Amino acid sequence: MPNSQVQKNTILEVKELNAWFGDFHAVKNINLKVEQNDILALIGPSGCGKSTFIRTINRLHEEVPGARVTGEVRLLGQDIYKMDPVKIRRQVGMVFQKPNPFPGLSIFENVAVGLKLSGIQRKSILTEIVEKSLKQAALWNEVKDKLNEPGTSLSGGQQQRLCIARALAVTPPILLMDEPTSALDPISTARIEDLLQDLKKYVTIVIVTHNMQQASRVSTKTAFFLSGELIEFGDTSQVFTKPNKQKTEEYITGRFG
Amino acid sequence: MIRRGDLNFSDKIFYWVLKSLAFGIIGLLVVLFILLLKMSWPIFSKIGLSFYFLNEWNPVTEEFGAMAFIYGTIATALLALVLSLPISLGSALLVTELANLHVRRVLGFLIEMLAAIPSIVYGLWGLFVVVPFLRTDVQPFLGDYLGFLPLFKGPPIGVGLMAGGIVLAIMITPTIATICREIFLTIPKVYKEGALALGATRWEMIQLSVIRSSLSGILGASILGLARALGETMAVTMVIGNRAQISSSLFSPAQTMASLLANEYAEASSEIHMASLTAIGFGLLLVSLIVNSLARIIIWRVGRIYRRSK
Ligand SMILES: Nc1ncnc2c1ncn2[C@@H]1O[C@H](COP(=O)(O)OP(=O)(O)O)[C@@H](O)[C@H]1O
Ligand SMILES: [Mg+2]
Repeated sequence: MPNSQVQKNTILEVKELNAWFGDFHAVKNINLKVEQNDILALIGPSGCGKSTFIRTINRLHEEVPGARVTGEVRLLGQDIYKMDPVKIRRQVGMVFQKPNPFPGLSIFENVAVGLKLSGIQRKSILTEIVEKSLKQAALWNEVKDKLNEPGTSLSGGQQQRLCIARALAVTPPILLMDEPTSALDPISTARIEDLLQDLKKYVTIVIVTHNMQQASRVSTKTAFFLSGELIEFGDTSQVFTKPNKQKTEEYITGRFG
Repeated sequence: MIRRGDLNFSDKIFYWVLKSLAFGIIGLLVVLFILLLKMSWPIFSKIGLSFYFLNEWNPVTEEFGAMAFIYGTIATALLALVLSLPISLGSALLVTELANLHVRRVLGFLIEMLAAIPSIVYGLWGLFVVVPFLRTDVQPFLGDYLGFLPLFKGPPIGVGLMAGGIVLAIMITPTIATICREIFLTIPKVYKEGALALGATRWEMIQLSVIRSSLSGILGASILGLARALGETMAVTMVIGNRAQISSSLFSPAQTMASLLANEYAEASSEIHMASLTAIGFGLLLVSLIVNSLARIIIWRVGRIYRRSK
């Protein structure tokens, strides 16, 4: 329905994006748009460039020695490759495949890290935002009595929600998630999938997943990558029910990947 | 694991030879212990363990106590550690986190080369470069501006605790820097990227994910460096001033346990003098063993934590 789309704000716009590792062309000429409150799922076989692509959105790709990017990534209209990467990363949340709470930091400190990096020191403000973020990440009830214990003392699923809270604390307009549940058990995975539906209200999400059921359950848009190319991009219901490209159909029906 | 039954005859011989060599090393250490203890017996039977707490060293009147040398040893080693730690950490961070591939290789190589320079060469460099520079520039400057501190009192002689500490600092830097580099390399990338993704600058990332998670490893590396500094002999002997005294000033000449042995062992005048020197050697061996084991245990435990978390 084009009319309802017009009113939405574009959060992320990618134009002719290419990414390399040295001479290896890992991501080829990507164009796509993500609108506010969308959940975009990136699917495709292992090694097709999903992680590489998502890491160009917060300029983490260029931290790999020899890595290179061309093209445009616009976040809220600003061309991020013309800005300071540190500033960009403060506006983009990221959750990794393996939960990575900082060793040696308490649960509270882990959530507060991003705020402290952006210069917020006042204890009262930190306390308030930490609580809010932990509630958003559906972790508050489990940890409210042990905020001073190390973040690494939590279970894997809890650690991952802690990392989500950490990313949300700085209220980023966009949250990137690279296979956030692939290291977790089915119950923790289900909790995080539920959580995503709540988070949609606050933040636009780009999620990499190799699990097609997950993509169809949680996302509103789907992008199918193959060998570094974006083969198909559209509403999730359309991509999964009437894909336009034969490759997409073969992949979602499990004929390869 | 290789089961012994699987080995044929020549392999069996080989196995036993290696095994006895390995145990021979331990046996050697035990024999060394017993021998040192036996040779130092005259002084222990005379004044007991108070030998290590007396500040007195007079071969003529045959009054012996090791306190001044213990002090000199600890003071130079600690000074060396204080000076070396920032350099070592800085270069390890540069090599692992900051520099490009080319600089990494060259710098890593150069630091390891420092470990290959013979001790006597450090001594000569200390004597002909460090000591004159301390005497004419550094110590007068420190005396003028910080002379009110007990650390920087007295005439600028050049030789002494400060020169010993500086030479030792350079000598232990490869040890500490190399171990720190290994520890930093074991930190999983996902912690570093986690910090960067939150908008940490490189320095903030280093504080958050690198330093914080390697604190006990850095401690282990420091203790190992300390152990090396405690036992170092030749270079220190040449710049320490060789005087048995306890002074709070870094400018004053002093003596370490190892350099005392190097100086006096050949010309020990009496049995009790010889026994006293041996007792100092015994103490040095004991301290080195303890300090080294401590460092190894800490480093080993750090490695184990990361191996498990991977
Ligand atoms: N650090 C790297 N150096 C060189 N090539 C890499 C690196 N990381 C990934 N690649 C290559 O880039 C391609 C895309 O990888 P990636 O984006 O991780 O795929 P995905 O996340 O879809 O599984 C793969 O062929 C992979 O081998
Ligand atoms: Mg991936």
